[in-house]
Amino acid sequence: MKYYSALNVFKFSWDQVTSTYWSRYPNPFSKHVLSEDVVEREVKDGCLWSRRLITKTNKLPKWGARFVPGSKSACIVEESVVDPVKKTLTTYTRNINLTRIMVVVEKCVYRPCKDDRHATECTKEAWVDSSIYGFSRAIQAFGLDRFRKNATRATKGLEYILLKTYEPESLPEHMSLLGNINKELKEKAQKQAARTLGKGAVIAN
Amino acid sequence: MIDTEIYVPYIATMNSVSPKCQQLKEDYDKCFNHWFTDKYLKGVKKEDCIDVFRSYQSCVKDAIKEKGINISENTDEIKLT
Repeated sequence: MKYYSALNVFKFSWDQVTSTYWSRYPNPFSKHVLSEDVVEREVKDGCLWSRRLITKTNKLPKWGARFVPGSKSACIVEESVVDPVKKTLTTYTRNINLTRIMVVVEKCVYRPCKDDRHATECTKEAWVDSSIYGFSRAIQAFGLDRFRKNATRATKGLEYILLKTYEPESLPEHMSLLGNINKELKEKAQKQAARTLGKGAVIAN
Repeated sequence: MIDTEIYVPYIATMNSVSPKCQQLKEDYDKCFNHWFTDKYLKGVKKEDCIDVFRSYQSCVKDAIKEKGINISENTDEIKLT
């Protein structure tokens, strides 16, 4: 069994983070996520309970492909509880297929930062396990490595959607779009100037 | 005049597990996101979107059954077509 833990801070309020959480897909960092659906949802004792099904691509290294006949997507179940009074969003995520090869369980807790109400911290823990005889260590190491990469992507993706929702002007594509417009304007102005100058030149002649 | 828009609003649509449920998913997500941010986080506990959720839920449940996905139990063999 391999263990992973990380702490991330988002510079957005807990209300903003939890509102955005449900629509964080698709984003430029989630190309491996194929689908996302709400299977169950209810308010119980004031808390919102949700169960979602997420399917992802499941690319395996050559040595690992032998354990999975045919290409299969990974099915992930995400169970979550929102406590609007305590201001916590707790998510539990686990794969429900390919479990003979590897089981990845993840727990995340989103809560307001103690020293900054306008920021939200996320503590992420994960457990990667495999019981394939003779390969469990290699599979666990591979699983942990992929989990790490995907965890980084997940954080970047959520951050991207937060920026897109609340601070769209800060995103690079917006900047580059502005850059293009500026370039376009500059070129037009140059052409216009050249024409005017040309005319001027004709008149002067 | 410049034809390019300065800011293109972000329209995010995620796929449902089945194309059959796509429209229901989009309708439900829209309703839910509005309820969650504007009502639930502001103290309203009464759920909205009940009818659309019921239709969406039954569509998804049929779709995952068709694909052989079992959510309640850990199953090893899942046919994802």
